[in-house]
Amino acid sequence: MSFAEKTGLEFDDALWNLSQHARGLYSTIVISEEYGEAVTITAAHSLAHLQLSNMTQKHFTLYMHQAGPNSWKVAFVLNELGLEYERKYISLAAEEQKTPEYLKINPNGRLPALVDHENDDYTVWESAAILLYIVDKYDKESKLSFPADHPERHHLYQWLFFQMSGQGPYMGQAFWFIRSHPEHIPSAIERYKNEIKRVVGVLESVLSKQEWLVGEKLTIADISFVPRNAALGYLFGEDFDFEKEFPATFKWHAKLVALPGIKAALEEQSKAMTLMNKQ
Amino acid sequence: MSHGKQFTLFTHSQTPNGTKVAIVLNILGLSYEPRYLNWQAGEIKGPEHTKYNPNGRIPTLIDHKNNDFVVWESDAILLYLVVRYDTEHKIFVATPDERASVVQWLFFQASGQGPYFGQAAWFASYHPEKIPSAIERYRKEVRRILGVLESVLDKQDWLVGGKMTVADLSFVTWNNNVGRFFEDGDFDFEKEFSKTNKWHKKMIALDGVKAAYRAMAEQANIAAKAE
Repeated sequence: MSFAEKTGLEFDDALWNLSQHARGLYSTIVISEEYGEAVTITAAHSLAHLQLSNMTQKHFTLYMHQAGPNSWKVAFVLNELGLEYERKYISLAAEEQKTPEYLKINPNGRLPALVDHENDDYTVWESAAILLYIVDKYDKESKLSFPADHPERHHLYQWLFFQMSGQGPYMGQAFWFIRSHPEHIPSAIERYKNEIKRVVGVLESVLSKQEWLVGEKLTIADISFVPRNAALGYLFGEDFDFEKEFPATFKWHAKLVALPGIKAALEEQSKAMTLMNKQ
Repeated sequence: MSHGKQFTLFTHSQTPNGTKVAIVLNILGLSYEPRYLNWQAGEIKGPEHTKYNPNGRIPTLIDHKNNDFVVWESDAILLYLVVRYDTEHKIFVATPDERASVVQWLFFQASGQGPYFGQAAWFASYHPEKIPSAIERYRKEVRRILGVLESVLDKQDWLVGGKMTVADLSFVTWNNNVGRFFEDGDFDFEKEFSKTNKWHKKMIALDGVKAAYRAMAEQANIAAKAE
């Protein structure tokens, strides 16, 4: 009997109900779409439980946010490597990321964070560090990486650090001053928009001469740039022609988002955003 | 590059990220030739540098004992140095899981501390207009980052493996600048973040750290006299 048949609810609606009851609290709920038998939902005043039978713990738990570019970066790589993980959405609206329970997982109180249940619940945060942890332990064929003792490993680090420190934060500041800052400051918006254009220009200068960033093959370095680059249109608006202004980067980005694991995660993100925005 | 040193380090006389690398080179006893680039003269984004580092930001390292291997991004440089040259694990760790933790803290430093402290510096001292709300935003974030470090250092002396590593050292140079982002008297490191301050002071007293700052100060003097 399916979830819908048993409970009379669509799974997404049940998820929504559950999140409403748990809002403002650290959720110890594990929600899985893999259910075999009957599912019961009980919602009490302060706690909601989703009791599932035949539920086995997945390899990883990925603490993430629906709108988080860094969260989805990790999902891309887990998907591409065929690794199983539980998605645990942390509510920024409810400041769940600053609760003592989450700070035990990540003292920085930001997303994502990964817990490896096949390694004694080893916990790692900072998205690029998570990517490296995943490939070092579980990408034994080095499908998306270079091993720790390979010379190109250092260029892998280099590009990951460039994405994490040179692209991510500046894009974050751009969106902050455009969407969230209490006053409208054109000079701040300008500063960050210019820097992002400069950063894409750096990628263009390299990708117009080579297909991939590191060692002539696809790696997590390339993948790490996808979420922020996917948002360039939002940032610059209608006047921005990605393909025209940065043709090599556009081509590379298009190849990346067509990869099955990335495509699947982007679709999942879209679904998750819709659900979240129903609030 | 006929200077005979093992490394060439493209850097600047007033840089937290370049100095960070000099510190680690010093501690590991590695020889390097600093190439101080002139920011005002456009050297940092000029072709002589960008042929090595397309991003045109310092530092950039060239290893002449490894076929002139080039690496940029200060924390990637730090990892390069310890992985290849810190065989005794003076400031590094041995196991894969511990190394993964070092890498995590380096990414926190590179993406969480550096850029936000950098924006604090920018709006406090360099932005064409004074924008109190922007200055306030980044001051708040500086305090938040130091609070994260404080919460961890309250329970342990070092970030990884019970000993000083590149993870700890990577925070020194930006933490050393914190006072500049605030008005006089508005920030008391010792009072507000005592454990972090203690940890920072232990590192700032190291010979390798002092030597790196001395070299920068000398260069700043030279540059000032040349103007």
